[in-house]
Amino acid sequence: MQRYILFRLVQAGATLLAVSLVVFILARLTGNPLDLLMPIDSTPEQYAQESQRLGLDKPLYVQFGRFLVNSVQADLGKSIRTGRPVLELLRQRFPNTMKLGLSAMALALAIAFPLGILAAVRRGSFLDGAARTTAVFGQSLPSFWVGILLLSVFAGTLHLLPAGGAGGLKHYLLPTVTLALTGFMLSGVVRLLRSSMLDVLDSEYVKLARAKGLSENVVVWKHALKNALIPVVTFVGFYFALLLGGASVVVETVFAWPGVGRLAYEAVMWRDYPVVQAVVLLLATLLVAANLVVDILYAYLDPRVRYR
Amino acid sequence: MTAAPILETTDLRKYFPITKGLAFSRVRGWIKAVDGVNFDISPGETFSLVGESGCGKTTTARIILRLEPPTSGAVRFRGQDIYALSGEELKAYRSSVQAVFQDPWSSMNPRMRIGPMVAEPLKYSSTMSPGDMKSRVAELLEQVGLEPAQANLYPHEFSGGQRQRIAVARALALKPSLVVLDEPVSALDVSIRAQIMNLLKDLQGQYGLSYLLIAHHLATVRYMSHRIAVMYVGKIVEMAETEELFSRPVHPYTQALISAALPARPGVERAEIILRGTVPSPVDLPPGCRFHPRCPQAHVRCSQGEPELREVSPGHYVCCDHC
Amino acid sequence: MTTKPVAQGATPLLQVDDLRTYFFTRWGVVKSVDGVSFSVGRGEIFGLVGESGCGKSITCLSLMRLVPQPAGKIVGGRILFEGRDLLKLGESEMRRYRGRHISIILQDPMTSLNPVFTVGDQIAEPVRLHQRARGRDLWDRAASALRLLRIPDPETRLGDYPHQMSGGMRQRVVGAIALACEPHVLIADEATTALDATIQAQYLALLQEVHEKKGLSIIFVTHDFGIVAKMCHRVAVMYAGKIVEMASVRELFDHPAHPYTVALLDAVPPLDYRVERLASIEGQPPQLYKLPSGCSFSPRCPRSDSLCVRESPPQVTVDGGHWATCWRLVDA
Ligand SMILES: Nc1ncnc2c1ncn2[C@@H]1O[C@H](COP(=O)(O)OP(=O)(O)OP(=O)(O)O)[C@@H](O)[C@H]1O
Ligand SMILES: Nc1ncnc2c1ncn2[C@@H]1O[C@H](COP(=O)(O)OP(=O)(O)OP(=O)(O)O)[C@@H](O)[C@H]1O
Ligand code: SF4
Ligand SMILES: [Mg+2]
Ligand SMILES: [Mg+2]
Repeated sequence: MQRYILFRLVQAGATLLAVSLVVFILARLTGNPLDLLMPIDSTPEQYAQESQRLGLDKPLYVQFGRFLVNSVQADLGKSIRTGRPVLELLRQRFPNTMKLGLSAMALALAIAFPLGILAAVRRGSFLDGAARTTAVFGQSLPSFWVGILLLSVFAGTLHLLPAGGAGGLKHYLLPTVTLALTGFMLSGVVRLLRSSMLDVLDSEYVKLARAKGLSENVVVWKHALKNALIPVVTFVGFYFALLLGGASVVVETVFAWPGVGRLAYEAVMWRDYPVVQAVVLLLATLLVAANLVVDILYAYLDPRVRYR
Repeated sequence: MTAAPILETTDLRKYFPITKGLAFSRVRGWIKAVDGVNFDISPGETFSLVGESGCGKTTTARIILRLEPPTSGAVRFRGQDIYALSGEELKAYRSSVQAVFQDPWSSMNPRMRIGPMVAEPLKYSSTMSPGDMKSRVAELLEQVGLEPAQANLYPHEFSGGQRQRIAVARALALKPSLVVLDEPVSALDVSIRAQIMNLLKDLQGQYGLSYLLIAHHLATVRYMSHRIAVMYVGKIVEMAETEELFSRPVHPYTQALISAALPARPGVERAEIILRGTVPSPVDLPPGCRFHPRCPQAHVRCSQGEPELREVSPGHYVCCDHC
Repeated sequence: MTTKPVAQGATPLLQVDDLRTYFFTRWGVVKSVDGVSFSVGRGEIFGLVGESGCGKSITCLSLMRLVPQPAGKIVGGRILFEGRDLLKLGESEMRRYRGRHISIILQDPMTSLNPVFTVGDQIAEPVRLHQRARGRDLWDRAASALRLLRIPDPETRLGDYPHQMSGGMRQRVVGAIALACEPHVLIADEATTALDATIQAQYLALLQEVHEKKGLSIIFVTHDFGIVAKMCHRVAVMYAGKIVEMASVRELFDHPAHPYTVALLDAVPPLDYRVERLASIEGQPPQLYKLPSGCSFSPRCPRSDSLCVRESPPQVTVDGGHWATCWRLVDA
């Protein structure tokens, strides 16, 4: 197991290195940021000066090398647009995204778990049908549309909730609901949990658990659930990483939520590549970390993995 | 049999670590599941492994199937070390060696219909048209006593025995040259068991297949095998041709094993040799001969040196210095 | 084992009347158990043999009311345990019988243990539930259950996960679970298929011992006629969802009356001499959702005639408790 974890850590490092290289190159393929930053009437001298100040005149590999060294020292450079250190921007924005992501995930799981499990336990019932419809429905609703709809009803017409920005509990309500109900979070967990639960409930060991005289609750929540969770864990891990890394761009933008997603959106619009790089790197780090956590959780859930 | 062996194992060992704790665990000992096993299988031969439950038969089979790397030792297939194969050679090995396992459920995807499941190996290794594949599947299903129409069913719609027949059909799909049969018929009723054993024998006659058979039911083993090795806690203790082994068992464990087999009718009295004590755990083996604490013929010396396999008559090997 | 006294009281411990368990599938109604009746006396060992797929396991599961849902359903019959009809009990009442009065050893040892719990947990579970044992005592009982079934080093093995055990060990663990609460009836669905001859002999001796000391009744489902011969008092032979012959063990081996039984016995491989080819029954077992008309065995039966194809055979008494359902019994 230690060797395995060590191996996974090395692998994670290599992945991050590769990702940062790709990001670095991509960010530069989209065009020169100075084109956007400099006033239209700037002289070539001003251009060259600015380019030198930002280090854009150096060969690419030097730029990349510097970027790497700096990243390792937690120096992600400065935003080209605002001139503020990128790390500071992230530090400011990330907690907001984190809080929104956590609350959305908590809400989604709080609904998805009982729904997925009950749908499997009462297969073919009304509840099962409802769960499956919900899943398909939620997944096909565009989040910007739901967001705007909720905004116009609760903030616009009813004036019950604030229209945007972060702040007290009230501010969380709409973006959390939007993020939790749309996309694959809720629907994915419901469907995955339902199908893996169905498989497990048909298994011989569940039959044996029933034959011992255990109550249906113990059979479902102890014997079946732990097995059924194994495939669900992967999905939740990755989806959560995506949420934190700014996959909530749309929702954050609609609700003017000062998170990483909106930061990414703005950075892309402005070709603020140090910020873009940093956000993508953050996403990659989160994914790699999620992967690691998922694997460890796996080992906890499934002894067959533990002993590899 | 004089032909070069199709498969050969040399000093095969597999030790499983016993660990405690989740992430940063320490190895507290080793389960010596397979502990120095040597045998070979000739083309067209059925070689059987029998022995105490937990003595490492399945583990040996898994090593041969490349499902579990050995701790040490080698497996050679047609002279080549199977753990050194890669690419095309490995692919060829995988299609020429197939398996039917003890447990028909775990090797089946519950969401896959039987037809595609049986056809799966065909897809990987041949270029059959879908039509040909369908008729081949139908043929295979018929060979194992199922109806071609049942190709549309899912595994849970079959009884235990029917599932085992599906597993046999799948293993035979590629016309392999060696089939590992781990308890292939124990889940079947005697009539279908006879059918499958006859089928396996027929296929062997037709295509010169070799079988590595693992079974507990000694009458089955006697009916199927040419040669038999008896294992006890990770080691082969006796190996001989079938009739020789059944008529002149030499090792005390083999004698006990054969005497414990149940005659198939009531009223046949047999002298059963009762073994004392319990099976030693493969973690801490007794010194000397690993069978000595239970052996009815044990000497003082048996607890000292570990005996080696020696030839007592041509082709008959025994791992005991005193019999 | 030459004489096997049967302590058959006035009322049998378990009596099954006209049990019918069907599966409603998209192919049609699979009549897995189709009018099965038998009884098991207190302290009797009853054997159930037959074609694979003929409904033996489903019969066993029906007795526990654990037929696979939602396709399977017990559609008729009675299961009287000490005079009470189990089919009329509420679900929670039924649970009090499972694992405590009636235990089952499921057929497939490789998959009947939960892969994510240690075997110790799984053995302790019914003991905690039905006998309210806790802590050290519970653990000791689990260990002794394993020791009883001859698993070496039981204390350590309690901490193993199922995948760390061999097939035979898992099968014995399942046996330990079934015996842990000292049930009255044990349903052993091919309980020894994964065991070698010496361990099987010990296992059977153990069951025999529990049977003699505690008066345990056993329903043995097996393909091994050696086990039937050694252990059972009476046997039922099943074919395509129905019992086609019932007799005492001696009667069945000496005077099999149903053509299927005769064919089955012919297919048994001998242990004491070598044969070149085993007899097997021609043709394919019938599909339980489209049974042939008349006698289900008629397409494969060497004795069948036009009557057999037309009409279902009656139950004919051969001699005392020995009967068979056939138009043209084999006279021994
Ligand atoms: N993955 C594993 N981890 C730890 N121990 C294992 C593992 N697989 C097998 N073992 C141990 O190795 C030994 C041999 O197991 P194996 O399955 O080869 O036995 P077997 O001869 O096939 O027995 P059976 O006839 O009961 O199937 C057993 O003690 C078993 O507990
Ligand atoms: N879930 C299910 N859905 C549909 N049919 C089923 C289901 N389970 C079992 N059957 C059918 O019921 C019949 C009886 O199955 P059962 O498992 O009782 O056979 P068995 O006599 O125990 O056979 P074996 O000796 O092979 O274990 C089989 O023909 C099988 O196809
Ligand atoms: S009734 Fe006819 S077909 Fe059926 S078993 Fe008897 S003789 Fe054979
Ligand atoms: Mg095995
Ligand atoms: Mg069965």
